[in-house]
Amino acid sequence: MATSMAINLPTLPFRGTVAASWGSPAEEELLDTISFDDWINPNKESSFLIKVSSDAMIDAGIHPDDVLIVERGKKPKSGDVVIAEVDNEWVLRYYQLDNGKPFLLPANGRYEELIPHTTLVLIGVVKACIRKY
Amino acid sequence: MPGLVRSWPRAIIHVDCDAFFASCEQAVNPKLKGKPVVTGKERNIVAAASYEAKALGIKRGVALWDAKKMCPDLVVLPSDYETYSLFSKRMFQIMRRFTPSVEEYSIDEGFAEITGLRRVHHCSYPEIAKQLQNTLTSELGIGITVGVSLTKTLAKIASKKQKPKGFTVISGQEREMVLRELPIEDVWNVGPNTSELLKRFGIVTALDFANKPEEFVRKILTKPGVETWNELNGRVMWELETAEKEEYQTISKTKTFTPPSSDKDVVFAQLMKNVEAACMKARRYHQSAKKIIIFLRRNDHKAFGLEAKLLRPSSYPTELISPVREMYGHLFNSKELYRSTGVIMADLVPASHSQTSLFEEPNRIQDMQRVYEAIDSLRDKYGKYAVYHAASMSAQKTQHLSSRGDVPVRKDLLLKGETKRQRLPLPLIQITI
Repeated sequence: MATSMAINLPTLPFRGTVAASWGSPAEEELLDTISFDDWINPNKESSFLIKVSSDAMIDAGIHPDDVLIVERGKKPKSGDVVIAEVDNEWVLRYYQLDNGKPFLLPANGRYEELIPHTTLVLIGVVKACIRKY
Repeated sequence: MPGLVRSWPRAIIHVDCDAFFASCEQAVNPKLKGKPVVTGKERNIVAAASYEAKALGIKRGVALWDAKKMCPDLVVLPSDYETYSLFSKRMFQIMRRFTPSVEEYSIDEGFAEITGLRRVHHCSYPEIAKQLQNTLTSELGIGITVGVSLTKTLAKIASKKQKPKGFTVISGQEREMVLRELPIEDVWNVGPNTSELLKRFGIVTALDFANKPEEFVRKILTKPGVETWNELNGRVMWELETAEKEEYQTISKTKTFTPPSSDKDVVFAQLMKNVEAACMKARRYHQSAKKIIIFLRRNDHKAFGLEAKLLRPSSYPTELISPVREMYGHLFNSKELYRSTGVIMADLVPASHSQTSLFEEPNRIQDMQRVYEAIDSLRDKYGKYAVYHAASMSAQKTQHLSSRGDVPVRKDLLLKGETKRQRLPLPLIQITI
């Protein structure tokens, strides 16, 4: 165990030794962990949940009844999975840019790609997909 | 005296959500965007109206039946306070990203002081406010109005100038110009009595008032009036109250019932039902109240209340029924029609602190605890209406029938692992994808 002593300080009377401990090393190591909550959902203020119903993204591993964490107010990058409103319809698709023009790509051969005719409104970018068994 | 030299001695933002409850509903259900939406289905009264509904003349407080007549396509939703609270909390958290000095003024309004933060944000005060507004709007997906000025009073005046999605700056130089156009009765904290008094002295606009000499103001008004005068002149009297609001400092339950009643037992049953519901919630959070407040609202919307301090903190209706009955006896008047009752359990303490006093019978209290544990587990298993006190019986029956369709969507749309009682603290977007 470590001890502390007064050395080279003649004006201070020597009062003896005190036992000190290092504490549990496990405690300190755990400071470098994050909670499951922070890991799955780092941007709490802009995250929303949404339940999947279609199989349009099934080949991307997103199944009906999965729960998605969607971030609002984020600019999507090409290749992000997004929830968007295209010509008055809400869909879950890959967001792709083709020469700066956005279009939406499914991950299911039975669906066709969507090229917005009038409007494309982004609801949010998908950040996680959760499936509870 | 009044005039100001520097344009920004202090910089305070007032954030005000536009038609907050209705906006939250439109944010979680994008299909409702641009449509007339009102909340308050469970009370048969418009609690909040979207701007689309307001444009058709539908205001807060209107009976739903009348609102439907004004607009047959009106979307009517039950209030989902859980979702609104989530949005409210997020709003204040986002504000705290910009400055640590944030006041949670109400569920949909707040202040943020940004004095001295220009260098941190590398931009001017109005630009910081604009960024805050943009962040709130894009992350929450609801309409936000912002006012920026030198004091809370002036910031409130700024946000009132343009709504919805408004953005108004009143700097030291612009102050006089704005106050010149503002009727004195529209100033925050100036009530009808004060404005009448001021008008007798020829004060019609906020600027008339702000330009009066201090001796005059001190002579005719009390302290809050003098403070308002200072605030209008750009001198901060009301600092931000930055403490984060704690949850469950009080638990309240209110219910409107139809038809209104002047039957003593019927109204009491409604009140006791609220007492039971509030107590059950308190027990769920292991809290006991040291104070209980009851109130009755008449058909003309006037409300009357009484409060009682309890000898021992409690969350058991059996114990509370006698003080509640006594207060009720003082409040109730059989010549009046009542439309709603409410109870507030206040001064909550952790239930473990509610020890028995020396002269009480600990056995009796232990028995009561056991009875309520049994009641709570029965209610958990078989629903809220499985067991209740005889005193609230008539209310339980009527409410049970009329409550169909009054449950917010979020409480029915449960994710795997969620229960009717506990859900994830994230808003759920209600569209099919």
